[in-house]
Amino acid sequence: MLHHWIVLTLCAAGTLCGCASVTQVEAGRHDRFRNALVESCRSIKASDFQAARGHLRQASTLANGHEQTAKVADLRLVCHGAEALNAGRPREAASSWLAIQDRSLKNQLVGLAHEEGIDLMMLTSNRQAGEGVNP
Amino acid sequence: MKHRRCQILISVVTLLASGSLAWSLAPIPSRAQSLLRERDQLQQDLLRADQAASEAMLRGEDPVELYAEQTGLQEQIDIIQMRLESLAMRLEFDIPALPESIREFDPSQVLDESVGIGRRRAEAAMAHQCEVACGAIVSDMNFTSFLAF
Repeated sequence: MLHHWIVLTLCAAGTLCGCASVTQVEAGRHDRFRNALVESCRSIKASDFQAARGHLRQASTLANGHEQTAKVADLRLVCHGAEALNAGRPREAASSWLAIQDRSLKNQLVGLAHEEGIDLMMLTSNRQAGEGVNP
Repeated sequence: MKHRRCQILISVVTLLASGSLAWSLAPIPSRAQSLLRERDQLQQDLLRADQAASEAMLRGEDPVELYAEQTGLQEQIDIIQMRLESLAMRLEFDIPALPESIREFDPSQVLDESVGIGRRRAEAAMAHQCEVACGAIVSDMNFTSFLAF
């Protein structure tokens, strides 16, 4: 009887240790994913889009689940739109930014673009290149 | 004697033929050219009005306004044609025939020609404005809530 109890206790302890290590690995992965995202956001703010893409590639390999994958996809759209706008292609920028899933991030971009005289909605609906940019 | 007559006849025919060739190849004077341009433009307008009236009639309408437009255009063309014929007789040139079909009109081509310089300048200005705006937008972005997970 005692022998059984010892075996059971050892099994329980082993399982707990295994779960803990798995949790630790997951936590480490999550932290690394988050750090990669933070770095990519920092690079975007500094207009260093190449570096941002590098961090996003790293984040993509660490992403776990739909939510994290969606965050990477959204930042890729931010990056792509910014690169397009920087290269004088506002329509392409508008279609990228308006495809962002995170509503708060998208609204923020729409508002900031509007402050700069760029109407993202008009740019995606009008045919002529350049329409929507107010002088 | 008969051979001699044939030679004279051939010479006369050759002379007449070269004369008519010279007549038909006479350059059209600039005054006539501007009239021709005007006539052909009016003819295009008339052909379009014809088509519009025909379409209206097929819809069961009686397009009186279009008939009036067609009549007005036809009268203008006739007046120009008379002036051209008078010029052609005096200055000895051939009048090109009136066009019978509607010329394909590409408004974007005409537009591009007339606004091309302005559009290129605007695009250059816009590219510069976009570059400046991009820097301002991304630097003002706030990722706090996006990263709160």
